[in-house]
Amino acid sequence: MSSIFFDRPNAPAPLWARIAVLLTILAGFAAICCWLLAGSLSNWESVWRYRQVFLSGWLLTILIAAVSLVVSLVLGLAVALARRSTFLPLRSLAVLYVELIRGSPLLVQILFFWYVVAAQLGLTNRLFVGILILSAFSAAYLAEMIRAGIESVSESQLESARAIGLHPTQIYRYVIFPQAIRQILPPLAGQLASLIKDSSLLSVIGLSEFTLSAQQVNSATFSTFESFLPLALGYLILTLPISMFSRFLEHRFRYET
Amino acid sequence: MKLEFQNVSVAFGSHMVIDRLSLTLEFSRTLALIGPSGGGKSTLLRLIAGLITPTAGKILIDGSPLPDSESDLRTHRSALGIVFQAYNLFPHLSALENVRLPLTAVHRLSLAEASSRAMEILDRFRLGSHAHKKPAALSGGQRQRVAIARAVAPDPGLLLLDEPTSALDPEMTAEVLDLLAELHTTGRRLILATHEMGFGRTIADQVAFVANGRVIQWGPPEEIFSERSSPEIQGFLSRILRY
Ligand SMILES: Nc1ncnc2c1ncn2[C@@H]1O[C@H](COP(=O)(O)OP(=O)(O)OP(=O)(O)O)[C@@H](O)[C@H]1O
Ligand SMILES: [Mg+2]
Repeated sequence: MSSIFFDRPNAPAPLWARIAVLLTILAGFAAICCWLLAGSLSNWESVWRYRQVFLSGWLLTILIAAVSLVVSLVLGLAVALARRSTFLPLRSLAVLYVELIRGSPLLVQILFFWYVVAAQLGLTNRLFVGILILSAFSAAYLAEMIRAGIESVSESQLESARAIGLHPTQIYRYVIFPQAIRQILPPLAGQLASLIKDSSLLSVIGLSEFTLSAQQVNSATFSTFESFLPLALGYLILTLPISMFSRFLEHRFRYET
Repeated sequence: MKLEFQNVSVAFGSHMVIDRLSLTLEFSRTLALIGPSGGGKSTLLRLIAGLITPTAGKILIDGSPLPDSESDLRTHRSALGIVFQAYNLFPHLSALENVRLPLTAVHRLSLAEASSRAMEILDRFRLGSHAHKKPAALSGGQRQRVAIARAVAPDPGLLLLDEPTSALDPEMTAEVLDLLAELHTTGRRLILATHEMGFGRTIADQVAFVANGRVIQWGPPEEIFSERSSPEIQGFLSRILRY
């Protein structure tokens, strides 16, 4: 009887059991939230007055993540190609870059670039520097995804491409990239979700994205829960659909050849 | 057609696969390479195709040496048709797109010209109704025929085939061999590595027995497949014909 709550490949759980489980968990979650928030939900009005601050912070977060995704895609592709280069100095540089970025916390990178590098260079635009730091960070991870995608194309495919007389750039264009993109797209969607979440750390350099906006509302209204609940929901509204989309892509590319 | 190997060596790392091979092979239309697995048939074909360059030595085809630079080798390869052991179609492209790609990207035909040429060849190979399928939706024999269509479409002067049927079941094998026999009768020049002794014997005018990175003996099939051939060949043939 309790077997209806087990989901096995050969005996999938019935739909109503799935819905029941989902609703129960959501209800439990809501109950816990209510209990946590009980008594402190009095201050919605003063927070509501700051809705414009929330909204502009939220939009700025989207902008930062979207621009960083594009910039890091270009940079990540360049680093991935450099990592595959036969020219040793270029390849070593790319390895160093990837390892340094992936080996240190984003928070440290933000502090270092803003207070040391940007200050030295006289860069004062927080948005510009913030996007630059986030893109450089994300590019290291994307470079590894792109490289894995490129390397997933088999040796025999490459030989086939050479056999018909394609030159190296054509091999990338007609053979490697179209096949690698299937590998890369699902984690790439996931990376966008990471960028959205990671951009919250840019609040430490005073960039008024979503997290800093919520902090500002909190200190202006002294209503912690009412400030940070919308913050959490605002991120989830963005990241949940993206990770669902990423999972959908993974599923699609796994079964379609 | 004349193939000359002058002191050709091929090493993979420290492993010497072909050691100072010197040989002149002449055939009029079809040369078959036979011999035990690991003997060096694929390596010889890759050398002729310009897919690998010899570690030392020189290869001449009809008296002209194969170039050294990658870009000249590319030109050499584009003038050949090459088909490998396993299916090496591009899985993300349909049959038609597979056949069309070298025509547009390498031979600079317009898309319309390339499409009609590709379609014409696929029809001739009785693959017209499969033109828009991806390789995954084709049978093994169909895939290999598309691969041959892709190699033949640019109208190459010489076709190199590396065990084109080794991954196929007997019925598909027959399907592909029929196609090759047809190409043979239309006068196309072929060099093929094969385990299909009967087929090699019927279509080849010259057969070369390759083992241990050397061409042990070569000559017309009547000679190679007779009692006059070397003991190595006798041994090889009796081993594979035992079952
Ligand atoms: N890329 C490579 N790296 C190292 N050794 C290789 C490589 N390619 C081939 N060899 C070696 O070269 C030798 C000849 O191989 P080759 O593929 O030419 O044989 P073959 O006659 O085509 O065999 P088969 O009938 O199994 O296809 C083998 O000993 C093989 O292990
Ligand atoms: Mg072989």
